[in-house]
Amino acid sequence: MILIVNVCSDKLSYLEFVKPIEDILKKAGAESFTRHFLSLNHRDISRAQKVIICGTALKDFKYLDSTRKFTWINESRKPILGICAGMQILAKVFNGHIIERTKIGRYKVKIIRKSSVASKDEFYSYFLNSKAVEPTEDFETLGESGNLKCIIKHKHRRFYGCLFHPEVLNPEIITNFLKEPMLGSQC
Amino acid sequence: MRVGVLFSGGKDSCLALHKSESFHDAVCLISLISESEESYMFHVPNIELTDRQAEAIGLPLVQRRTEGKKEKELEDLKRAICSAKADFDLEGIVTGAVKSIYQSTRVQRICKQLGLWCFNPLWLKDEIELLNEVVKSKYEVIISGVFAFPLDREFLGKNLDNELIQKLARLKEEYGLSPAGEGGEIETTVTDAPFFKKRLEILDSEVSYKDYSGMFRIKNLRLIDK
Repeated sequence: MILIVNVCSDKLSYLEFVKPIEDILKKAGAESFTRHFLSLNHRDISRAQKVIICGTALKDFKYLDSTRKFTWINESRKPILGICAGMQILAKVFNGHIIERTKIGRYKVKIIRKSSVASKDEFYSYFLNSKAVEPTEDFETLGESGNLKCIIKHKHRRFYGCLFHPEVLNPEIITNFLKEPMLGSQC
Repeated sequence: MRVGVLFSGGKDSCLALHKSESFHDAVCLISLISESEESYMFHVPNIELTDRQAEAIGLPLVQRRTEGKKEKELEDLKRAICSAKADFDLEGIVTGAVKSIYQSTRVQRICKQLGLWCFNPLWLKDEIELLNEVVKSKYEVIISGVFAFPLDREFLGKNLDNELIQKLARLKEEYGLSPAGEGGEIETTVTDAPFFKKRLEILDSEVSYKDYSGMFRIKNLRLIDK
């Protein structure tokens, strides 16, 4: 069971940033349920085997003011994929820095270190961000676009951050994430 | 939030408007009329009728003309959005983008520059699901342009219904055709929808068609009370 975390503060943005993820999971045959981050509770988190934290609109930053709602990530050993805003949340929970950096459109991603979620040497992805991250040493960089760290992974846990939106041009990153070992077979 | 909707008069912009109204106040429509058939963003059949469609919907229309040259038309779009923002006190823009990264990238950049929210409520939506939603929601939609093999003259002027959706789904399987025309293969014109206060009745039209490319042009119409 996959928990999809909606971080959109505007309900209309759900259709743009969350529904496409739900559709990819449905097409892949994965069971999922969606919760808004403000109404997420311990039961939801316990029920999930993996978590995907979605992105949101360019002007939406409420999630950054509410990172205390994500302290559960510190304790978690479940695989987590953070997309755009989700990546920022992952980095911030581990005391990383959020930096102002706008990137909108289709850009090349170069893989520095191959992983189970992204194994091609390079590919094009769709970016829609006005902020990026400088993560702490808890994370390693797996991919870059220009001088931006655009795929990161926690060194000791299966936490992945993806600055671009894989649902647009790289849905295999999401389906690869679904193949990550379940809780119990790791750590 | 007060939003303006980029409006071509086709099914996607109408459905985007419809969805945005559940959460926001759609206060105006914004249309660009391209004078170039090569326009990357705005060339659609019957675009000149958006003023009548806006009247039928009951929303004011910000309509601008553009020469339709590749990046120049983006400056024209930015000016149109800027003008709408000032006149209608907009906080956001809604588009009917489904798959076009070219279009969505450019509108997102313009909105960022102007400090506006950008909403794409149909983004990445399954095309058959989209067509089914339009028919289920009782939209009256006609095919007003075809621009790809194997779409023949018979499609022009046809109403979108379940039978036509099945046919388009078969063409997707056989030829890889985008059933909702997201690559510009098909264009549509909406003549009625639940949120239209009046419906459009077509009084006169003409069809032009050659080599899998054609248009159904509405030459005369009237608005009918519902």
